[in-house]
This record gives sequence, C-alpha cells and structure tokens, in this order.
Amino acid sequence: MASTLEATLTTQQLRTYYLTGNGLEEFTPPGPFLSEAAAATPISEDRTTPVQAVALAQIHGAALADARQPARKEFIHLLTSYRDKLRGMLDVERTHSDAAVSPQALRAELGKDASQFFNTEALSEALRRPASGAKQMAAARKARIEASYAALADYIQQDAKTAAIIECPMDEVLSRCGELLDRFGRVLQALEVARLESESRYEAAIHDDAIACLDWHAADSSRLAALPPVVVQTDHVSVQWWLGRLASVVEDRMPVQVLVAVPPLSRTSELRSAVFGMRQAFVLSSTMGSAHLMDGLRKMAGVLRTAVAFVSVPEASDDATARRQCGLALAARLSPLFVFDPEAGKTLAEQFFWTPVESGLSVADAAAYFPMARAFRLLPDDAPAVLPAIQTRDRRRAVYPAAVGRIEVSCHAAWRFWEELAGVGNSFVEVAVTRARQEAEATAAAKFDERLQQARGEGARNAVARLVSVLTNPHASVAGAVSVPAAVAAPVVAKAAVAPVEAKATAAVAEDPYIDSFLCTSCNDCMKINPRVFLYNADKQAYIADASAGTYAELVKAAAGCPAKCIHPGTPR
Amino acid sequence: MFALKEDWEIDSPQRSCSIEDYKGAEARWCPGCGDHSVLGAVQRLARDLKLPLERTVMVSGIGCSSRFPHYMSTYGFHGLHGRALPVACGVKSRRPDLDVFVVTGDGDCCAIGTAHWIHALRYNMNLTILLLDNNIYGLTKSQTSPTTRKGEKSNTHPKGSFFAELNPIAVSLGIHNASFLAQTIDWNPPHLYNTIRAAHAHQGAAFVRVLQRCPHFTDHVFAPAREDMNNVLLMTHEDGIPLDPAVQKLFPNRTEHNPADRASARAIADRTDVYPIGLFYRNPDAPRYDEVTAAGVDMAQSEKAAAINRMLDRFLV
Repeated sequence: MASTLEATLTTQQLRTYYLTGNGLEEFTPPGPFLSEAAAATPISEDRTTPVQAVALAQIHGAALADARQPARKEFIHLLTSYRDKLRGMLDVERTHSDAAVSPQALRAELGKDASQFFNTEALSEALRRPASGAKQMAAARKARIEASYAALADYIQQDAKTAAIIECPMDEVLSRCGELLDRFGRVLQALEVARLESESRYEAAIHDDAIACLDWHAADSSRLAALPPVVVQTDHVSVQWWLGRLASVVEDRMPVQVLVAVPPLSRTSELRSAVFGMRQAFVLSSTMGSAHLMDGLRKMAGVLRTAVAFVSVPEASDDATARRQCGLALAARLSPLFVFDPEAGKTLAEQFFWTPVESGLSVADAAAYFPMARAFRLLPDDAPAVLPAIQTRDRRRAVYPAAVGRIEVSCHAAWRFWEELAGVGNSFVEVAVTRARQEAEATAAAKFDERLQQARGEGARNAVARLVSVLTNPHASVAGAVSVPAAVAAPVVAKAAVAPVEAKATAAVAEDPYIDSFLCTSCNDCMKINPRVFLYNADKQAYIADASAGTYAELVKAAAGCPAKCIHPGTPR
Repeated sequence: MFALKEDWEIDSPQRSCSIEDYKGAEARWCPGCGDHSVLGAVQRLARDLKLPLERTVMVSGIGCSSRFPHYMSTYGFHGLHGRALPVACGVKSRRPDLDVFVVTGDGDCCAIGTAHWIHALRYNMNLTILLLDNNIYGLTKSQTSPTTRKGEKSNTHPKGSFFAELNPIAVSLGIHNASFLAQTIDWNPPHLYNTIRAAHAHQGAAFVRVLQRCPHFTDHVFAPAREDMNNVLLMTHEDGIPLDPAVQKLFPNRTEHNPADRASARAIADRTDVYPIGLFYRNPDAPRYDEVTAAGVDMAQSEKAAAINRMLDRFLV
C-alpha cells in the first residue's frame, strides 16, 4: 500500500467530506481509479458515436437541420409566391392609374422613334376615358396590399440573412426570441391578407379584426417548424442562475432549444425536476456517447415548444478516456435516461419515456474513475468506518478503500426517483397491481361458484324430470330427455290458469292518409291539387301537413296521379 | 393549407345550409316531369355536402333538362345546343377548384353533342355529368332523339322511329378512358340521390344516365317500369351504388355486378328486357386531363414570365 496515506483521519473530517465533498484532499493520490466491478465491466468499442462535449452542439445542429430546413424552405417559397402575386396585382393597378397613361409615360413606353408618330397628349386623353370599364382599386385595399407586400418582402430578405440556427445566451433568449416571434406574427398576418386578396375574398368587416388578432400562437406545427431555431448552449450553473427566465420561456411555450452540459457527477437532479415540474417543456436527460442521446436529440429537434436537454458530458480531453467515462456513466447510472414529451399524450404514462439500464455497477463504482477530486477520496486503512466506502485499484493494482460522498448517494437517489416515476419499483403501482389481481381472482371465484350452483340446479331438475317420466309412463325410454321448465321441480303443482280467449269484436279503424316522403320525386303534382294539404319538408319531399284542409277526393286524386305512388289516401272518415 | 390552428381559423369551415340556399328561380317544368326529381336530388346533395355556392357551377346545353342552371342559385352556364361538355371542360381546365356539374339531355348530348361527349369521357376531367334521358326532344315539342325507341311516333316520325335506339351506356363503355358509368331512374329518389352522390365523389368524369319521365310526350315509355318494378334490374355490389336495405326491397329483380368487370357491364347494358340501374363501370385509376391543364394556374405573373423566358432561352442563338 502507498505510504503517503499516513495522516490520522478523524470522524469529523469524514463527516465534513460527506456533506461538502471537501477536506480530504491530502488523502487523494492522482487517479483515475477503478473499482473491481467497474474494471470488470466491458466498455463499448463503438467508436462512431461522438463522446466529446464539443460534439453535442454539432449533433444537435445536424438533427435540427434535418427536421427544420425543409419546412423553412417551403415557407419561404410560399411567401415568395404570394409576394409575386401581390406585385402582379399592384402592377395591374398601376396600369389603371392616370400616371400610367400620362403623355410622359406613353412616350417612355413607345420609345423615341415610335412616339414621333403619335400625339401623346391626345392618346393620353383617350386612354383616360373609362371605355374598358377597368376600375381602380379602393384606396384602403391598395394600402393593405402594399403593406402586406412590404411585410412579405421584408421577411424574405431578413430570412436570407438569418443563420440556419440562431445561437444566443440564456440572458438574451427572451428578447431575441420575442423579437423573432413578433416578426413571424406580422408575416402570418401579411400572408393571410395576401391569400384573401389574391382570391378576391377579403372583406374588411370580417377580416380586419380577425387578422389583427393573429400572432405566432396562431401558427400550427407546420408553420412553426419554418422558424429559424433558437438554441441556447449552457451549463448547469447558468441554468440555476437563470431558472426564472427559463420558466418564462417555458410558460409561453417559446420554441427554444436549450442544451445543458452537466458533469457526470453533479446535483443537477434538482434542475431536471424543476424543469420537468413546469410540465410544459420537453425534457431530455441523457449521456454523451449513447444511442439514447442520438434518438433523444432527433426527437427534440422536431419539438416546437421549449425543449431542454440535460446531457452528461465527460471531462477528459482525450477520446479514449472520454469514451470510458461515458461508458461508465451509462453503466453506473450516473444520470437518468428519460424523455418527457408533453405532446405525446395526456397522461404521464403516455408522456414519460424511461430507459432502464441493467448493470451491476453502482454510482460509486464509476465515481472512482472521474478526476473529480471533490467527489471521491481514498482513505487510509485505519479510517473510522462512518462513511460508505468501496475498494478501488490503481494502475499498479494496489488496493485502496475509497470514501463515498453525499454526491454519489444523491445521484443514486435521483435515479431511483425517476425510476419510481416511470412505475419501476413504485409501491403505488405494486399495491394497485396486487389489488387488481385480487379483484380478478375474487371475480373469477364468484363466477365459478355461480356456475357450480347453476350446474347443480340443472342436474337436480333433469333427475326429477326423468323420475317423473318413468313413473308416469313406465314403457317409455328412460334415456329420453324431457325438457321441463324450472317450475316443475317445485313440490307444488300449480294449476295453469287458462283465461278464455274471447274474440274481440274488431271495430273498423280508420286509416290516416300518409306519404312515403322518401319516395317523393318533388314533381309538384300534389301541390297543384291542394297546396294546404301537401307541403314540402326540409328535403323538398312532400308530406301531409293537414289532411283536414282538403277533401278525401283530392287525396285520392293526388294518390292516383303521383308518379312515385308514394301517397296513401287512407280510408274516408 | 395555411396552417393556422383550428380555433384561429379565419374562414370558418362550418356552414349551416338548407335546400333554400340552393334554390334559384321557380322550376317551370311540367308537373310530373322527372327533372323535378333530379333537381331535388342535386339540391339535397349540395345541402348535405355544404357545397359553397360561389364554387359550384352548373353547365347545360339546350333542352328541358338544360333549364337546370336557372333553378339553382350556384353559378351556371346555359350554353349552346350540344356544347355543355366543352364549356364544362374549359371551366375545369382553368378553374380546377370549382365543382362542375353538367346537365344535358338525350338530344343535347347524344345527337348534336356526340363528339364532345366521346372526348369529354376520354379526357376524364373531374365533372359530374347528368344525362336526363326522356327519349324525346321535349322542349321543341316532340322530335325523335337518338334514344327514342324504334317505332315510337313523334312529330318528325309520324309513322314511328326507323332505327333502334342508341344506348348511351353501351356507347360509353366503348370509350377506353371512361371511368364512371351509371344509370338510374328519377322515380326512385333514394337510388337517384345515392347515384348522383357517388358520381360527385368520383374523381374523374362521372357519367350518369337518368331515365327521366316526360309526362307530356313520353309518359307511356317508362310507365311499365314505374307500374311494375320487375322491369327494373337493380345491380348491387359492395363497390356499387349503396342503397338502404329497406329501399332495396322495392326492387324484386336484382343482380350482383362488380363495377370493375367491363365485360359483364357490356352484357348487362345490352339487355333490352329490363332497365338495369346501378353502377356499370368504375375505374378510379384512369388518367385525368385536368391534372395536366391545371398546371401553372396558381403561378404569379413573374413566375409565368420566367417560365416562358426559360423556354425561349432554349432557342437562343
């Protein structure tokens, strides 16, 4: 064992370390260290998945481009098309104006050579007469079209200068995103005006107010996807500081993507819980170098409300160490792997996607590997046993006991919290499952009892019936089954009361006239006979509105003449 | 298309419609005329499907049938004799967003308009074509039409029609791109309505021949079929014209016929002992010419100019 660990360690020092992570620096020779279990755990050899922290923004950027670029291009194409239509309308309008037929304009159009053959003043005068009937646009309409045209042209120009992704720091996200969304709201209004005007369907009385109310909240997912995505790259310290601002962004459902890089061992579970607790944001929790992160970022790129990703990133600069750290972080469950998507359904079961990890490693096993001096300390052999500890080995296979601090315990507790939320090891779920199982068993038992009783009753009845038939007709076959109603089994023989059937004197019943309206061909024949008796219903097919408004003869005449034979005059009264 | 959330939509998709909304002028056909039944069925269809008035067009030629556009409050075009179909094709080619109905008669479609009829079915543009066949030229007071039966007397043939009648369905079955051919009767409104509805729903040229009573000139022609429904053969199939079982019972004479079977359709259409009604033939995959003619309709002027310039640039020296 190394001889450097010679100082006496007190219980107080150990407690201080547990609570604060500080105070045992002198007991930590340079690492990294691996526990026995961690050393035995194979790490994935997949070298295609990026593991360095800098790759996070690149992967996310690529996913965003895939998800958003097509919608953005299509939106700009649509705006361009409507801008051109409006320009066409304004060009036509310009030719109707007096300025278009002024002598100067005519000379310019005809050209220097041709205009000498024309008296442009007289021509201008002639063209001003409204012979063709072409009317000029109303001033309000023209102003509206011009404003809409300007808004569309401006947005197209601005968009061409805007990057594929807008990166901004957390402290500017509200203002920058707000500005972008306001501009988007104005272009939505302009687009509606352009659509209605190009179809000549704009009515100021209906549409002025309705369009003035439109803002970015009115856009559905296909339109919002056309917005340039706003991305905030930050760390957990910044998020803690700006939590209030993040809450405003989440509450307004602004389409912002936030990437939070967290060290593998940290207390960000509270941050995850805080953002999750807002219930409006998409939350991804994952680890670099995992397939879960790739899938999660792809899903996140398509989200059009606030999306926050907490990604555990390694701290090593060389690829091999970083890869090992990622593998260990995954295997030891240092950060929970889940996706919370509020738009995936209405219940938590539909919104919360938990990814379990089967592994024999604990948080402490992996913690030894990270060069976080605060998270882990080696202990001398005679250290008081007031802390949980594990055994570690260094590169030379020397064994050391190592103290486990509160941070590891809180990592494990966080994992358990999320796992329980997903229904794994959840005592409520277990109680409910047990209760459901008991209820199902009780129901099955009750059904079984009921059937048993029924079978017993039927058996008894059949036996009695056979006995009766044998006693009353000894020559008949005993095997013949006699179907007897349940009342025969009763010991009292009931006398059947036979009520004499009296022939009722049937009085003649007058039949009312009626029409099979669904067969009526709407030929108006019956209405010509009597328009008060016969009326059309909502399907423009005849019915008898008031039979007493006409004579029986009229009903018969209508029935005889009806081409569809759907009138039934009934019997005369 | 403009992708606003549903509760922000500016154009409300909900309309409340009644038949009154679709009524135009008072229908002046003779009392008992089968055209009333067709008008009622089309108005009920428009109400049930909430067809926007400003996007529905009735196109007709000349004849009693062709008074139709006047009695609907939609847009209409009452055109020249025999030219309902080319006008309708023209409307459809440049305004593919409009819902176009064609109402024509046996003289209008099968005599003077025959060439247009053949090609309109070939083009298979998305139209609903109603041929109101009363076997006579009625508006001009009784002249023999192509569908008048052999031996029927009229003002042009006082001794009786010389030839056997032309069968519009049999002729249409010979047009290779025809995609929807049906026949119905005006005196059974449920079957009439369902046939017109199926025709309207079909994406292509839906040709419906309506055997239509003329109480003034040819009342005797369809009287046997009206008096005795055994003279009507109802074609049934799950892909055919749907009909309520209670209404089906009114037709004692029924046969199962698959509308995809052209040969069987021909055999049934050729029968002269009964009037077959139902869907003779349907081909939902037949190519449609309006898909070609509608190209570029929604282009802005600058886009059209750019497209023309690109074409001309090919000949640049």
